[in-house]
Amino acid sequence: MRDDLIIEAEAHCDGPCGVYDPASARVAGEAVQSMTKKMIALAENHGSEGNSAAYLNTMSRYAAIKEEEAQKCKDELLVLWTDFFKPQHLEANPDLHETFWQAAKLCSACKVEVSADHAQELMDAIESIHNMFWSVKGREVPWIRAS
Amino acid sequence: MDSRLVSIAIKGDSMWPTYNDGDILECAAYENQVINIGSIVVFPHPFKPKIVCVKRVKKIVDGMIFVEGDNPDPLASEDSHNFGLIKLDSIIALKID
Repeated sequence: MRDDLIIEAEAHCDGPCGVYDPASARVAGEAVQSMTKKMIALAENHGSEGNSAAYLNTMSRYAAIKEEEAQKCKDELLVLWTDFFKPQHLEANPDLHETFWQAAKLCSACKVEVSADHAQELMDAIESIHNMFWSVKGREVPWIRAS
Repeated sequence: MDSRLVSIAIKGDSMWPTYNDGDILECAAYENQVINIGSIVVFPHPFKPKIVCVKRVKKIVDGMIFVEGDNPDPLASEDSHNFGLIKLDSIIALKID
């Protein structure tokens, strides 16, 4: 005898997937890029004042924020990579692992260096991850920047 | 007499790649049939009784079952790694082979 009722059975993970959003990585990445630009501009425009306390204080603060935000960005990316994305997402996104690996390395590079090129490459990688994330979620969410 | 048949709608990806979200499984209502390692069983979540789960039996320990999702990602399934062993009498249905 067939039961007319269809029972819905959960085959889910513990954490609700809706709590993930690459926006937090994007905001941190934008801060890294902003601090990188500020450091380059400060050195170009006020490098002759490099021994002043004000110059050293401002440059130190920019470097400290860049360091902190790059680590935050890396942490956010690693959570997305290891917790949100699942093996079944690789078929539609074959570059997923390479993209995240490079993005995480760029976070580290942006900590070590003052490189406008690498800061832009980090933002490009985060944009790729944004697109992969929302395609997996089945939603069209445009890439936006706060800065 | 044959067991009563029950249709089970899969919701989520913990049983991927065996079953996808939205797949329908034809199951038999559990009436003390033999449960083997590898059987797919349907049961209420031990901590969230309103939620029905579908998992595969990985081990049988002292008359209880250890269940796991098929998804190779250890984060993709809430199963006996989270809620422990399941009593046989809590099984609702069994996938028909």
